[in-house]
Amino acid sequence: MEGEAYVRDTEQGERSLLPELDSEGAIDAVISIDHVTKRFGEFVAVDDANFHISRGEFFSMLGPSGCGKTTTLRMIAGFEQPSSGEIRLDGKDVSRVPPYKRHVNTVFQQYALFPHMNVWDNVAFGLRATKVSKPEIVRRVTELLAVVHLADFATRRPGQLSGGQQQRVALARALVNYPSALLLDEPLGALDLKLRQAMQLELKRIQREVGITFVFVTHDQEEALTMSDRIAVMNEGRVVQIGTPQEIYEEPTSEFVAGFIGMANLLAARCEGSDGEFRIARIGDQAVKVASNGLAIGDEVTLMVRPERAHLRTSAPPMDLAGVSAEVVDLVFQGPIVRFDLRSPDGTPLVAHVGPGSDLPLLRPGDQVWMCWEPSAGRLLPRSTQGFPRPDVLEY
Amino acid sequence: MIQRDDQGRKRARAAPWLLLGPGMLFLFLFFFFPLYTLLEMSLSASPSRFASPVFTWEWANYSEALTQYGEQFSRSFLYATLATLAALAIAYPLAYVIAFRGGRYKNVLLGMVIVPFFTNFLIRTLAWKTIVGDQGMVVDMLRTVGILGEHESLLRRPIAVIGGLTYNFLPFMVLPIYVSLEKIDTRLVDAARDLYSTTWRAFRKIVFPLSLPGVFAGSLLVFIPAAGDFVNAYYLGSTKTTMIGNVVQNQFLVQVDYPVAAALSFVFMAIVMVIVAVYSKLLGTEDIA
Amino acid sequence: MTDRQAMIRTEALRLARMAGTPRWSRRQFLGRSAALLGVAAVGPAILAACGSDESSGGSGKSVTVSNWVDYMAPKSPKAFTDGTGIELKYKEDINDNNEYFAKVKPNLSKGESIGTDAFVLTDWMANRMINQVKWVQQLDDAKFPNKANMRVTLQKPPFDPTRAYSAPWQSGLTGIAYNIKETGKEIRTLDEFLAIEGSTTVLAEMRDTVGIFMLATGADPSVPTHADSLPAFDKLQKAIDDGSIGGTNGNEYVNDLASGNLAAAFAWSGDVAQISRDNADVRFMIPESGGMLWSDNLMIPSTSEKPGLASEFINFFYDPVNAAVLTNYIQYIAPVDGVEDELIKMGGSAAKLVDDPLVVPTAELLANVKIFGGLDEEEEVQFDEHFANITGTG
Repeated sequence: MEGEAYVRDTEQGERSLLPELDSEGAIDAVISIDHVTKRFGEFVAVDDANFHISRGEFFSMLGPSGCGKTTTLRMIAGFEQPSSGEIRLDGKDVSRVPPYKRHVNTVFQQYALFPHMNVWDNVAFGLRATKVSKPEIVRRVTELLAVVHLADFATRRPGQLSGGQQQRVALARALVNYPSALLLDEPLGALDLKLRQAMQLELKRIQREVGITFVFVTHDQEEALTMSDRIAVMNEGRVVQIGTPQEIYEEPTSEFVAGFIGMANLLAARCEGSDGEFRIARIGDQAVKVASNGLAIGDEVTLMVRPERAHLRTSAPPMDLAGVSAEVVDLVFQGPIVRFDLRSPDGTPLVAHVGPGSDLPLLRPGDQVWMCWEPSAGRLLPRSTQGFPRPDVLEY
Repeated sequence: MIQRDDQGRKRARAAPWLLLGPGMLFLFLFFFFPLYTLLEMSLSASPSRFASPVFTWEWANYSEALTQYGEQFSRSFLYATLATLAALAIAYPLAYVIAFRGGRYKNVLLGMVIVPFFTNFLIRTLAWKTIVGDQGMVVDMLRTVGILGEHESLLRRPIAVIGGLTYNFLPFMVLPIYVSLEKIDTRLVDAARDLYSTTWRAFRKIVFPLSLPGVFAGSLLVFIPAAGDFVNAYYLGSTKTTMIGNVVQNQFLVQVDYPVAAALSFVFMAIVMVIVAVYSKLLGTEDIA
Repeated sequence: MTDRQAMIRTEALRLARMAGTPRWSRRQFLGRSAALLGVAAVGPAILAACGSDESSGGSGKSVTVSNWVDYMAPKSPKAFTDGTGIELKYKEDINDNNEYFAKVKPNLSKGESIGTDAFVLTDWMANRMINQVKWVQQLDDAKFPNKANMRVTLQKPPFDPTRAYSAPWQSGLTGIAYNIKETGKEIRTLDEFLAIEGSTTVLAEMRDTVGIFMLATGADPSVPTHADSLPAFDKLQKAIDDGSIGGTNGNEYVNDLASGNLAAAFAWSGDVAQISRDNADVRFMIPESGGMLWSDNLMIPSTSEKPGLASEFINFFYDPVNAAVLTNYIQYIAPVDGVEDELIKMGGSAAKLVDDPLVVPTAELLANVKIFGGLDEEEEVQFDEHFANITGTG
């Protein structure tokens, strides 16, 4: 109820769950990261990041530790200043503006709740620093505590709360200020798996309720996929791909993204020719059809197939399917699926998730099979210079 | 079966007491027993000057302690309070800089705070005497600018004694404050700044309250020994700056009046306990996690 | 003195210099407050521990002596053992009369041994030991033939009229030391001392300070009564109240005088003898109304089982030859006749000491000093309390 009032108050207006895919041209950008680079001495933490975050969007920055996502977030919050480039909040350059003058708020890793204050005082902290009237403070704190379901805990100290409750206090403490954007730095990292999943849903609910832009930093690809409207995947200081979870998952543009988001079978291939809307790729001595994506004929490429898109056959696939021969290495029953670990003739490890619908004979390690997929399920990626990421290593 | 259960329960009940045992024994031997001896002494009287005092419920010792030495008592607590405040004013910024700006030199800087403690207390006091002595730079400067007259000194004045107390006990203030500041998660400061607080407000609302346990511990560690100190008053002060420690020392060594010395010690202890109780009530540090 | 002892002593001297003390003497070593602190007592404890290293065993005859720090010539203990065949355990464990009294009180009051056969304490404490608490025994005159060499002026102190219980180890004078640079003129009387504009102190030892004030107010400190001393106390009180006297001083006045922290102070002759040699501005004088003469006296605790050996010890140092060695090193006033001749025989810097009135006082000087007389218990309490009151601890 309070939450609804909140949405009305802030007059967020209409918003689309899936904002403009083209981030460059996004209208109504709350945050613009304009060719921002951050160096610490010789080390380049963020390398020419350039993107926009739209109003009301749930935007995630995803990547392994040290990829620059937290530094980017800290620059948005104002704790770090860009070495070059510009950060704009609501259209204004804030690159040199201290944190306390920026209308964004942060939910910190481990929450950073003030241990000597009770929940109420924690939540009211930001409002008391600004010129908000007392009755307004009471109204807003009450409202936010209701939004995070902590109305009965106002007089508790953070030390007396569970991890999930502390998490919600941290959220309320930031949101009570009605910021232009809420920055979340791995906010769920400290929670155990079950609580984390519950909090993911809770966060989504709250974001829907308050309608504020969330900028969410995580190294957990599943979390990012579950919650985000858009994801920026970062690696070694660079933004390697930005898109909706679906785009990122289904149409990765690099081996890194393919391997980092979900599991991927990556096969060394060579782009040989075209067949209508498909490209022909050669893997070893086999030619397979793959959806075209503009790579030039003759390029050394990598072919990606998601394990759940692959199925197994004991005989060579028909013409309309793509496939490679492989040997069963191991198989693991995982409930909804059976996971097959395979090896191609050139030794590349492969994985196939086989659902209950398939009518396979009983397979054992050492059996020869074919791993097949619809040509549209395969993606051609430029060959990385760093060699293949192994799926079992990259699996998160 | 039932019996064994009972034994188990008995053992379980005895366990905490057994665990407490060594600590209790220590406390008894080295705290309660001496305290009792002191109490007994404070209520004794000597039949003649050098005879061993005999326990006689001699309350007169307390009336003497309470009535005759008011001046030295109040001076002790006044000097100790001023020394504590001075130490706090110096130690807090020092500890703050070491904790938050010390970087990799933290340990070196802390070492420098502690190094003077490697020398004898007395030597430090005498070193302080050199600093505020008539031939020292400080007096020279004060005389040049006319704050002190040509024949005026800092020595043998209250300020020399208070300065000596501050100087001698400063590390006791720096270290606890440093520890409590060091413990503060700097993300709390980030959080406060994120929540529209200037650095100053973040300090007032977050850093300072969280460092109060250190301030509390440091103040007590400075105040209590400073109030009971007699070396600084003896070497740096005059007959007009004597503290209660000097009185106890005189009663004990020169006048050989152990009962009055004991009564004075008890009164001193009682006053300190009241002050500490009031102080901890005011600071309310038990609330801070 | 063993090498190790010498090393520790050198180190201790270095520390003392760091603290601003140019040289220790028996009285100016860390004062009573330091001793009470315990920490400072570490120095003498180490020295004492090393002292016992000298025990070489053999004859089976051994004697233990407690004395003040730096009150012995380095070669004398060995000379004593070589000359008498008695092994000597020499402990430098006395820093302060009151502190030493508090230390031995628990044992001696119960008649238990304190692990020493002789100790050296100042006149008034000797009085307490001999006449009040009676924790000492007579010297064995048969083993102390050199007693005949004792200076006449020291033979009949009021507290021990026949010197049956005590023998002076060294003597000294209490007078006024001043830095002529600070005072600008010579000081001759107590009133001139009180009129000095710069900082001044009196001694924290009641008898030294009150004695000089008694002499200045016409009272005789050699037969002191509290009633007679009232004018002296009043004069002292007034001087402290109006700021003529800055405070009391234990033993650091030497450095303060030399450095100019003090313009003048009540002082002990031995200390000044040492610094005035380095700093000609520091002078010592006995006020025209008179100064005090004091001695530190060797006594044998009643619990010692070796009064004979202890008597042989003091007898050795009453031989003028041995006494001169001591005087040459520590530069206090020797209680032994004939020391002057021996010093002249030694020649060099030792011979020059004969001309130093602080080491070999002239008859004229000696005529103007008094020994503070014995006080009975009641009188002593009155004196101590009155003095404590005036000096802020009562």
